[in-house]
Amino acid sequence: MRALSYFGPYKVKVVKKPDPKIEHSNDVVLKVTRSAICGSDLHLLHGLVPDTRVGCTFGHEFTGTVEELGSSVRNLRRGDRVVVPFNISCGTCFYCARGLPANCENTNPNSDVASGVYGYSHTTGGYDGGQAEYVRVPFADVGPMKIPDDMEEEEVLFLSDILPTGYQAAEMGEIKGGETVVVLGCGPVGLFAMKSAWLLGAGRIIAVDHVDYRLEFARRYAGVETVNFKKVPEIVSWLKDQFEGRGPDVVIEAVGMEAEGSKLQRLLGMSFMQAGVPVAINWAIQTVRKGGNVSIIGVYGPPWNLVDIGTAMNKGLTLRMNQCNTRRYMPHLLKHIREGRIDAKGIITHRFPLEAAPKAYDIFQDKKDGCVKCVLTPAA
Amino acid sequence: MTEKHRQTQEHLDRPVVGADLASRERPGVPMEHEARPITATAPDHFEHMRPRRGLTHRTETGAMTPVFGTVQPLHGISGLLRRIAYSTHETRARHWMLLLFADRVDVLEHRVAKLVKIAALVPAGAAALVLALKFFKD
Repeated sequence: MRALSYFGPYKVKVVKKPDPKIEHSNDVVLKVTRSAICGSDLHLLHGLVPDTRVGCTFGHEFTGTVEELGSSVRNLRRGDRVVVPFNISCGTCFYCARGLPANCENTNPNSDVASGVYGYSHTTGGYDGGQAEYVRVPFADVGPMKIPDDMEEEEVLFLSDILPTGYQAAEMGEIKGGETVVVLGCGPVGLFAMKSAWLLGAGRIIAVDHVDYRLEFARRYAGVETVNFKKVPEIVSWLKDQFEGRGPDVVIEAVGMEAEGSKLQRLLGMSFMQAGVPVAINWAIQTVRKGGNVSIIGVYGPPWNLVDIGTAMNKGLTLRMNQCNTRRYMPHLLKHIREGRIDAKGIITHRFPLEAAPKAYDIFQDKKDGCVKCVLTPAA
Repeated sequence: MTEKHRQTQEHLDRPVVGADLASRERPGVPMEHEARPITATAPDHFEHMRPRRGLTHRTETGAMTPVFGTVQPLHGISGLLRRIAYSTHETRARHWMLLLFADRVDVLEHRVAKLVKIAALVPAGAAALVLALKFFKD
């Protein structure tokens, strides 16, 4: 099969690889129909995630058609169209049973920090991802959700990660109606966090970024106020001033380990003196009102970061975070898509065949051509 | 309410705002619930994959998880470094720093292997060229 493969920092190519096989009785092999490039794939591309091996195929947001089934699979048949959550979860372990499939203890032998994840280094289990013609999907009776006959792949593709992640981010902010919310980052997850915050009853939302076209997209797509942090003297003070000097009730951090905004933090983060650049976390802690909620969904690596935890303690903040428990949200958010409350497909700005995946990465990482979200079409 | 805020409110489709206000409409509340299978078809019991050579697991568990990825098994010097990294606890910085170092060694190994392949092809190609020239000359 053809698959995108990693050959070192900033270098990916589409090469021929052996087809994936059924390796466990509850596996299926999917023919990939759509596969998206996620902002967190850029951390892999940039060599920032430990144990990213040469030859690894990225891609944890995908839909596909069932080609082969393991002997114990009950939920799916050959030819079924499915959307697959990015976490690989057994469905019955201590964590899965309690609603935390993102923390499954049966799918990642290499680390206790996360469950297995498709195409996200050996730190998350060493599974190949969906930026390929075919992909192995373990625990097929747990993760994949059938795509309704009357819906297209692209309408539901983002149920695999970014839509539930944005929703969980807003939910972790504990919005009860009328709260003021700041969302740091106008990437795809940030956009869905904004949409979700409205669904949960937010009273006012301000989005923060430094890329003008993304701020414009956020205004149009999510109906939020926006600010370019490079165009105000001091973003934390500016944001506090918008909320009577106290700050918002909730801040959602949707940026992750490659944040702009502090030259020192960036130098330390990008040179492995700390695991990524925690500027957005610190802004969240410093901006939110005392007693407020900070919701973190940006991706950071172990083992340490220079995070302003003293301020968080003194302000009595609640910090909530997790990888998204995707499978819990899929049916609910499918309903929102179907009923027109969320136009998930509306954030797709670019489509490419699999062969053009390296070019897609270039456009996405450099934020060229108004790019918000790139989708690959391996089966085209 | 500022003018900007009012504009934002007007922009929004009203049925969207607060559609999930009630906690029963929030699939992730509470985040940790009482134990129950996550989907109706989640298997109660499942077989364990058979461990194989060249794979890694964290030192704390002493064994593979029931299901795991099998792509890119350990090889070469980077494999040795990764093996050492996985023999130290993941709470230690050296575990992660050694993995990052092994990643760079892996890239270097790949490039060297590619160069060796090219270097091996050059004499073979030159020999073929000489033979071809000789053949046509005769």
